[in-house]
This record gives sequence, C-alpha cells and structure tokens, in this order.
Amino acid sequence: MARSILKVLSDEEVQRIHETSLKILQEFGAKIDDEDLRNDLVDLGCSVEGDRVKIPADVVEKVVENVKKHNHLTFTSRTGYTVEMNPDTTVTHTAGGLPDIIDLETGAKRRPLTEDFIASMRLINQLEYPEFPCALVYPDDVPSQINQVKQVELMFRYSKKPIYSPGISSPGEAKFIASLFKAFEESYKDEIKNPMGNVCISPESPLHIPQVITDTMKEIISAGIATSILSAPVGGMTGPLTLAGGLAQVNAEMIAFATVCYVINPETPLFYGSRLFYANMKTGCTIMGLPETGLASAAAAQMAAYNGFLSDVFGLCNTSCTYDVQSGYEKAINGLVPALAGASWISGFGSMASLMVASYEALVIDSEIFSLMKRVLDGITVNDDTLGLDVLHSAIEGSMILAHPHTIKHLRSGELFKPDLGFNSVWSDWVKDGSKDIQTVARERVRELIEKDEIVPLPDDLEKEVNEIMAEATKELVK
Amino acid sequence: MGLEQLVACVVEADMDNVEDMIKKELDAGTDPAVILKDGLINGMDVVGEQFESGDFFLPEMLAAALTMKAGVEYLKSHLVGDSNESAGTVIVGTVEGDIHDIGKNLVTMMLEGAGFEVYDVGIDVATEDFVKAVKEKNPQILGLSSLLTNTMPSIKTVIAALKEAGLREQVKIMIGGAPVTQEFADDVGADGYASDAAGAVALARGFMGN
Repeated sequence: MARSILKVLSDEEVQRIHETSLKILQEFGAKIDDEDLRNDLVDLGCSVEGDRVKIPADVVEKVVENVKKHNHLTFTSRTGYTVEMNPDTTVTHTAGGLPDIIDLETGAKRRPLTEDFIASMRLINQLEYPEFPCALVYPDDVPSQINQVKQVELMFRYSKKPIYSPGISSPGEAKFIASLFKAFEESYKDEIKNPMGNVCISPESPLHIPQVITDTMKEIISAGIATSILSAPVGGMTGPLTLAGGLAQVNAEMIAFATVCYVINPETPLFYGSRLFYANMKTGCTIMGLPETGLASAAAAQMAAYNGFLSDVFGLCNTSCTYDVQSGYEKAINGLVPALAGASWISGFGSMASLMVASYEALVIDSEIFSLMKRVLDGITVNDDTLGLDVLHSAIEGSMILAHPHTIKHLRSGELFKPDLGFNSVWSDWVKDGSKDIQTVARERVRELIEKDEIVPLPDDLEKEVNEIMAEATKELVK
Repeated sequence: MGLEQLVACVVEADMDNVEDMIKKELDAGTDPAVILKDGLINGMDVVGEQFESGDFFLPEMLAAALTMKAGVEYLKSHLVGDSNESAGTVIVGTVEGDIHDIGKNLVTMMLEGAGFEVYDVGIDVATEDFVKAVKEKNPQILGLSSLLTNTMPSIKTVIAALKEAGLREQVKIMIGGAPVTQEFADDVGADGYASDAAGAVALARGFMGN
C-alpha cells in the first residue's frame, strides 16, 4: 500500500548524508565497551583504537547487504492476526513506556496500573489501528526490576495483534523476555510459523554501545528476535542541531549497531528505528510536536530505504497536553509527512504531552487519524473505469449520476472516506447529537470497545510455562 | 579597557579571550574581587536577563556559563577570603540503572554558572555511592536524575538510604528527569522538583535562601 509519494531529501542529498555516515564510521567509529565484541569486529574487518571500533566501507556494504535479506517479514499473533511488512507497506504501533495515564473516569493524570496496561491492550484489539500494540504504559504496581518482563507477558496474554515489545536496556530482563518469546512461539508452532512480535534496543548517542546494551543484545539478537534499533539523538544536545547532521549520525549509529548484530547473529531482522528529536531550547526539555519531528522521520524513512532497512519512526506525537486543535495539527503533520515518505512503521499512537502521558481516548482518536492518512496513502486510482467517461456520458444523456451503478460501485469500494469516529454532517445534526467534542465521543467508544473485547485464555501448558518464567524472573531479579 | 568588555566577553561566550582580558585587568591593578563581581558575575546577570526576555536560549546560556567558569578558574588564585565563596555545594548524579546524562549535565553546568560548587558523581550511580558522596562532601543539596520510568523508584531508595544513614536532614534533595513530576517528588519525600535546568538553579538558590 505504501508509496513513497514525498521526498524531503533528493537522491543526491540521501547519498551525501550516507557518505557522511561512512566518514563518521571510518574516522570516529563507535565506542563499544565489550572487548570480546570489539575483537569479533576486528575479525570482520573493522579496526580498533582504544574502545572505539572503526568500520570501513566494505564492512558496511556487507552488513547492509545482509540487512536487505530480512526486509520482508510477516508477523502473526497467537490469535492469527497477521501483518505483512516489506518496503512497500506502512503499518503502525503505539507509543511505549509512558509514565502516566489520563484516568478515563476522572480525566486526571495518574500513574498507570496493571489494569490500565491490560485495558489498553484490549482496546487496541478492537481498533483498526495500530496493527501492533507497544507496552503503552509502565504499570506502577509491578516491581521495577521485572517491569518489562511483566509487560511482555501481559502483551502476549492480552493482545490479539502481534506485539511491539518495550525498549529493553537490562540484560537480566532481556533473558526472560527471550524466554517468553520462545515459550509462546513454541506453543503455537504448529499453527503459526511467523514471529509474534519484536523488541527494541537503543544505543547511546553519540555513537556509543555500552556494555549493558551489548549484553542485552546478546540475549535478544542471539535469539533471533526481530529488533528495532532505536537511535535517539537529541538535536543540539547529543547530536548536531541541524537535521542533516542528525540524520548522518542516526544513519551511522544504525549501521554500527547492525554491524554488532551481524557478528552476534546475522539472521536477526533489524528495523531502522530513527528517533531523532528536538528540545525546547529555552528549557532543554524534549518536545515532540515540532514539525522537525515529522521532517526528520520522513528523511529517516528515505535513509532507511536507501540502505534496504524497514523503517520505524515517530509519528502521531504531540506536545499538546489535551485533546485540542494543537494536538490534532501536531499529530497530523508528524504522522502524515513520514507516512507519505514511505515509512514502514509509524509510532506514537495513544500518546500526548511529548510521550509522557498515555490516554485511552487518544488511542481511539489516533486510530481515526491514521484512517484518514491511510486514505491519502491509498492515493488516486487512474484507469478507464475510474476516469468515469461512461457515467459522465450517461448524465449528459439525462440519467442521474447519484444513482448510477458507477457511483454505487466506487462508493462501496472506498473511494470516499467514511469516518468511524469524527463528525461528518452539518451543525444542526451536531447539536441534535448532543454537541459532543471528539474527546467525549472517543471516551464513549473506549468503554464500548473494551467491554466488547473477549479475553482468549492461554493453553494450560503454556500458562504453566509462563508462570514458571515469571516466578523465576521474580526470584532472580527482585531483590 | 573597562570591565564592560569583560561583561561582553561573557555575554558573547568569547572563551578564547576571557583569560587575556582578566590578565590585562589584573595587570592594570583592578581588584580581583571587582573583576569577579563587576565583570564575570555581571556578565552572567546580563545573560540571565537576555534569557528571561526570550532573546537567549539554553545554548547561549551554557556557553556563557562555561566562559564564566573558565574566567573564575583563572581568577581563583588571585581571590582571597569571601570573594571566592561558592553559592553552595551540590552533588548531582543519575540514579542506578539509568545511563542518561544530558539533563544532569545541563543542571551541573547551569549550577556552576550560577556559582555553585558541583560534584557530578556520574550516571548509573549505586545508592550506597550517593550516601558515601553525601558523607564525604557534606553538600547542602543533592540532585537526583532519572530519565527512565523504571529507574524512578531508585530515587526513593536513595532517600530511604540517606534516612537510614542519618544524613537525610542535613541535605536538601531535588529531583528531575522527563518522567519525574511534582506529585512523584511529594510521594517519595524529596524537597523539590524542577522540570528543567533553569528551574533546578532557582530551586537550589531557594534552598540556600537566595
């Protein structure tokens, strides 16, 4: 479905940025704390100066060629929901790891609990978009040492869609998360041959892969779990302020990370998870509603495509702290621009306040926003039938266009967008329907959809295995 | 040359010339305390005004603070008595399990620019190391940073450990980081929360009664 309609960078600019990344990798290299990995990278053809690994162009070429082999993926959930991903598709996932949530009853911001985590999964099950839930919130009632393991367990339990696991930065938790992936995929191996989800891991900017991250990678990448590389420099703080410089840095960090993955397990599919973002330069606080967020994401999608990666970028992100016009225009700009540039994965669903607050209503509204974007991405079909000469001729001959079979056929095939949530009539109807704003309509829909979602229990043997993994994780990690 | 040129040097963050300018003033017999107060500190006051009025942003503020810091370092050996007194002593660090340092570094530089003596104990700092640092440095303020939601509980752990070590009452604790909120600060018993580096400086000044 995705068509790269928009190019925010010319082909020459893409190439120039990539060449700068090669220069970064050859001249500055990446700091890699793990000595054994540094030695493995030397065997691959890199050179080492102190703890910095310099990656020459021929090694980059080898790594990039390998990445391209894994850019056609199909994910399937345990209930059979299947999502294809390849260089021509655009799919979506929620934001992840948000520390607060808007209470559905009171409208107040508060810490989320396990019940919120489960409710968000059940709501996402019933929405058209996103196709993947991420761990939207951090449940405050789960010990921090096993919080991410618990999130993955809950996602596998309650999501009917393939999962986008939280960003992992603890090898201790990574081990148990890999065990959960194995347990679920083994349990359903007769019916489901595809991966059930992915995880994400972040290098540090600029150009540093700390020991804790390579230890995490050893657990996840060795297990072959598809991984989004979340490279997240903040422009002007941990990377150049200029977008071109930030993009070259992100591209170099992606390739450095992919090179390390190559020596750990070259068969693991990798995503180009650009998270280049910017701050309010008055306060230093990062804010997500800037148009540069969308612009950088679109450019990253182009850089990813150039190197054969599937991309994973920011999308429906905003700075606004409420359901207002600002929220709408920020999400629209930051979602649509990368989507038009052919981004493979658009993120941010369910978030507000610069990815600091989750909202049930926002999940429902964002599904609707992306439906509009999807219509734009579907574009305009031009052929003899859609050009409509016959219908125009019949009208001239005196027949009604409104009742013409051509009109009915194309109305049914989705030529015109029909909102599922948004208002699409006239003022008098809006008043008759209670003069509701979009938040009110969304809140009513949240309740309805969660109630509709039926929980699918785990098979007994898997239930037992999952409980054992969680018990072991608790014993080992919660001190 | 008058001190107005040194003021401009700080405002324009002219790091290359700050030492030369101070040297010329010293050679001309200007009192080092006057160079500090009417030159360097006055320069930062102008920067503060520009920041408040919206003409300057964080990068200009930090660059000026670094220039002032370089100037103070150079001037230090010439200063005597109270004129070299810091605005207060602060320990800052990112809590255990968290390797993020931008926010902490911003706070450190802004505090230093405001005249505080700051000990940056780094990232992923174990609770016992915070306790040890408070014991050794005897600061008036401890700043704890956390960027990750899952490392926020470590802030509570540090505060509890300071209580257990009998050190809690001797230090004001301020906390910050993207997911941290005032409500969280109240919950864990911190003395203050700031949403950004400038707020942290205001908070620290408040703790010191300024």
